[in-house]
Amino acid sequence: MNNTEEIKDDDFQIIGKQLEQMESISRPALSYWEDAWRRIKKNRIAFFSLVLLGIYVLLAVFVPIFSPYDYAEQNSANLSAGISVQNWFGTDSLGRDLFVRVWMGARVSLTIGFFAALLNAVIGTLIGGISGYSGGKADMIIMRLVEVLYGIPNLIVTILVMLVIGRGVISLVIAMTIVGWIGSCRFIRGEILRLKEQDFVLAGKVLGVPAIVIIVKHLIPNVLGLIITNLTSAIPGAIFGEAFLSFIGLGVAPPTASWGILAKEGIKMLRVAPTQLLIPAFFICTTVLALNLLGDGLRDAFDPKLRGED
Amino acid sequence: MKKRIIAVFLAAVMLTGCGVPGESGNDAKNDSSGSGGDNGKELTFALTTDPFTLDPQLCTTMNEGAVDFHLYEGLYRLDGSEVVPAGAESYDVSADGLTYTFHLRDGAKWSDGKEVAADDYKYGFERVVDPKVASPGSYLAGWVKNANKIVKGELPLEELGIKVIDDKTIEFQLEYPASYFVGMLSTPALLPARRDIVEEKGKDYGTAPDSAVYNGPFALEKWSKNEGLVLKKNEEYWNAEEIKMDTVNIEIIPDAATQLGMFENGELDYVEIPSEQVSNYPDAETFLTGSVEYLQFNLEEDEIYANKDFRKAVSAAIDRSEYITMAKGGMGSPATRLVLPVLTGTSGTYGEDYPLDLYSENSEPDKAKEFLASAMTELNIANASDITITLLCNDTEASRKSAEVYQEQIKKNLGINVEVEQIAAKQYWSNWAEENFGFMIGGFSPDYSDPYTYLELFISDNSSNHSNYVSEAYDSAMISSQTELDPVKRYGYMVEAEKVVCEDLPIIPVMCAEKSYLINDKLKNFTPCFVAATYNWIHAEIEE
Amino acid sequence: MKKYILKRIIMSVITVLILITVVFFLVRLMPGGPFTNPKLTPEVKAVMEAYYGLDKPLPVQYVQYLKNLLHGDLGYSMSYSNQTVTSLILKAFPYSADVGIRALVFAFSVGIVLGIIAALNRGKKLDFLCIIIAIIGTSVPDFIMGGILQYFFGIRWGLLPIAQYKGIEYTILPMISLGFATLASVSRIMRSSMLEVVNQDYIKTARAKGISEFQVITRHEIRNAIMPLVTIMGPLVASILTGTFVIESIFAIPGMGKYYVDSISSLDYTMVLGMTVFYGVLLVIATTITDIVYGLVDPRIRVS
Repeated sequence: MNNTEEIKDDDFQIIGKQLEQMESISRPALSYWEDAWRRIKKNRIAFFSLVLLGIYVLLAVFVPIFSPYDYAEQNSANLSAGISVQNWFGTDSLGRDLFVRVWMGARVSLTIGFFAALLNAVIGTLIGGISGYSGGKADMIIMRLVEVLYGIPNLIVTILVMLVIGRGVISLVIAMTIVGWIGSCRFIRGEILRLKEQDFVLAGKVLGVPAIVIIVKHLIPNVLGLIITNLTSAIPGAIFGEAFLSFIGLGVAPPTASWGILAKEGIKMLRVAPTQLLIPAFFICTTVLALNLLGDGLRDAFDPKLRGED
Repeated sequence: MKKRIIAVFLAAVMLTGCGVPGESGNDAKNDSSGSGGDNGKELTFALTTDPFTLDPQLCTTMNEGAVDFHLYEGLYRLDGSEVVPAGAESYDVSADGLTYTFHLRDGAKWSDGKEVAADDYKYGFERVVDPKVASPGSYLAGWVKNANKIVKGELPLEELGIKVIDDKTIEFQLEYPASYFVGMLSTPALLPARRDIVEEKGKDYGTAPDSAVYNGPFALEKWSKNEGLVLKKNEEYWNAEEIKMDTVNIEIIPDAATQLGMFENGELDYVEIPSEQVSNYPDAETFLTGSVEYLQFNLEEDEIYANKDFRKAVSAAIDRSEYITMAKGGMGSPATRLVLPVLTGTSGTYGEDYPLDLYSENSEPDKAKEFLASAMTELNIANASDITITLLCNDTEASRKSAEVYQEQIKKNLGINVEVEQIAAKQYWSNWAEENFGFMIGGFSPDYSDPYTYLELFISDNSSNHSNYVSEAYDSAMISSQTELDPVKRYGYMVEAEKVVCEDLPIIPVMCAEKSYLINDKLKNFTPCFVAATYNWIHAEIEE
Repeated sequence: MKKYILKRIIMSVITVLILITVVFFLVRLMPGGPFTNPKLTPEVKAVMEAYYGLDKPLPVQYVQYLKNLLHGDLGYSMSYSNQTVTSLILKAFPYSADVGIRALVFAFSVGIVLGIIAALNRGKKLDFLCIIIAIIGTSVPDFIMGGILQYFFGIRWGLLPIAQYKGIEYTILPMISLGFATLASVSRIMRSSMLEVVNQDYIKTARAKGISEFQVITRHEIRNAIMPLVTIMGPLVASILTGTFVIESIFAIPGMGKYYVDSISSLDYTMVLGMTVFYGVLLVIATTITDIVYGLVDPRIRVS
């Protein structure tokens, strides 16, 4: 690095001003979303994950419609059958076709996962953003409130919600949202706290930009990557939440299936018919895997600082 | 920073290297398990739940009962289906069957060496009815004169119909000639208690090994919450020579599959097989748990449940044998009546003496549809598909599975809609107690080995009659059985009542539950029971 | 700083008080009661409720509870007859804390390293490998993970004890089952935040100043990247220390998780409240410490 002296004036050449080139835009004008989409398409792993999730969604929608079996139809002559031409995934301990049950379960689990995570992310980001940006007393009060909510045993909330509106997808989503937004709220607040001390925010403030504009135009895009990553990893969280509630007997009403219920039934059969656990477990795992990989891809795609790097 | 990461790693290694809580107190006992050592002959098995308390008068579960049963000795003891002398050697009955005098055994001692006195038994009963103790088992003493009134606080404790004649003689006054009570005397709530110890220990009584004394074949040596209990042979027990096991280890393992794994690793001597895995062990032995599973209606909830033909239709739509195969892994026998047939009868078992075969093993769809048709005419319903009933079940996996099978069978055979409502256990029982249900999965485990325990639930003014079942024929047969002294006539009345309730179907008996188990080949005389306690290991021995 | 800490403590007490109040009344909303039991006659039930003071009006019970709480008395459990909530919690907590700390150390040490390796090799095979290892952890629910580990290591191969908690070898499977999910989120957050930090100006400055690559990574990147982890630490520590029902039930560990689920399903009011108080205090302490530590780690955020 210490060889600056060796650079001589002769090494430089005057090329003059080229006004039209200075004003031209060196790459095509892309909106924030167009750019993100372009980048996600380039990220092969993330794109593949997206495709896989799409396939799962399609199967979840169509398999229960077109399958010759009903998800609740039992068959006492065909209990815990293995994989066969008639039953592609075998049958469960009540002789129900697992193929149709897995995709029926996908409907339930994916719906719960998506809506619980979405609601959590939206509520969490809003409250976390306000709390983090405003700071001071408002922040103090919101954070104490969050602590109170966090301390309330989830099970009480879940049982109460179920008592009021009955067992089902909606009550599970509501129960998970009441306590679930806290995680993303804390996370976003932490990020905002960090970002708001940075120079570009200070610059905005100095220029008299209103707080709401700073939050929406400057802070949120900066944390959007994190919000998206958070959202995609919150879906697995909600899928697991549903599985846990099913594990302790608070899942959706019978005879409906969900992946959590299938896995719970399966784990009891681990020694007798391992496929009954391994099949739902495979779909839970690959879904969560795909969501996580997609989340990572999205994070990179949305990150304004990584823009145009490739 | 790398250094710090290395430090964290080291910390992790160190953490894995340091001890775990409770280890020091444990290892001496566990390391020698199976190998004999200081513990002499050892028996190890597992329970799924820890006892909440070992104060017999506060006992609420069969598992607690099993431990209490071996720590204490009642006046008489239920051994299999036989009632054998225990704390008492004999008893006399008055001609009207209302006064029983028990003669206590000489030389019976508590674990602290003190002689067992008649007052210890009286005190046990006093505790069970004393409102200040609030014993959950107080209803089990209902046959003692004035007991129920004392429980309600209507009479003082002194009015209890039990008299200590002398140190070795105790007299019971009965409310009605309930001859079966002798078989109940080993029920946890009716076991003796030492006045001096209970008063000295106060609230701690029965919560730790040293906070109680024992007069049973075993004494509590160690109790680690939710981890396990260790029982040692009680050397002061009057029949200590006959007790073959020196140490009984009871581990607390909540998960049934985990228990099975431990058995296969040789860590347990006995294990019950979870119903899903029964098919893997075709040679396993089975026993009746005593509980009868049924579907219960609340006749006042809806006119459809009040309709007898509808209830008959549901009963005929249930395929009992298929249900047992699918929901219970084959563990159970189809119910043909309400009362468990293996209870003691007048000469043989109750089932042999008074056979009753009211329900078919398989579903009878045609019969079911006929009953449904007449129910629909009576209720002015045009289409079967207009009927929707809701089956209530609780949050256990077993209950869910059962509900799914019932749902499918009723739907298939009757063409009506069945919805399943699954709620947490406490809410489930609360709905039951408050009669806030129409149709639910229910069941009953007997409190003592007499048909009366099953049948009293349906007497119209019984506080547990949540079906709101009212039948004059039933009530009069049951009341006659209460005062009847002649056992044959008494059983006759009870069978008559049983027939009435089984025809009226406020409940639909489905099956008598069974369990299958694996046992160490060398372990003998470890027997599952179906009343009051889950197991009896008094005479257990391990052959060399 | 002293004033700040004092203020935090006062706020924390208020928080816990509100929490107790909310839970006290919420749990009473649930139908049934601790003595709802098919074998109990209504008379006995009434007697037992009177014994525990449940027959008094709710506000009276509430005031009584708070009074007792002031003396550090959490009352007697309603399921575990004549045993105080405090004694039950104190017996169970060491087990949960032990599994929890082991799981946390395992998760954070391995997770941070994986995250760093992944970030430094972004887009390369090593990155992919680290992410896959971590993600296998997150994508398997704990009861499946626990069940499968137990089945293979304990039952099938007999390498480790199946259940219970009696020595070091007993701790390994619960530690991995409990820590794996956290490990994965730690490594993911670490990776994301490392990538973020890499593009910051101060890193460029550090490089421009000619600091060696190793020092840039250790002194500047990792130190700054670790910050987001601090925010998740607080609640995580509290929740992991109070045990998880699933892992404890599979491995038969006598910890707090069981009480957490059972006390609610059996409506053991005093136990539910006791757990809430204990957990609430732990949580408040953890978040307070988090906030203070956050200030220490990031010099730009000073508690005002």
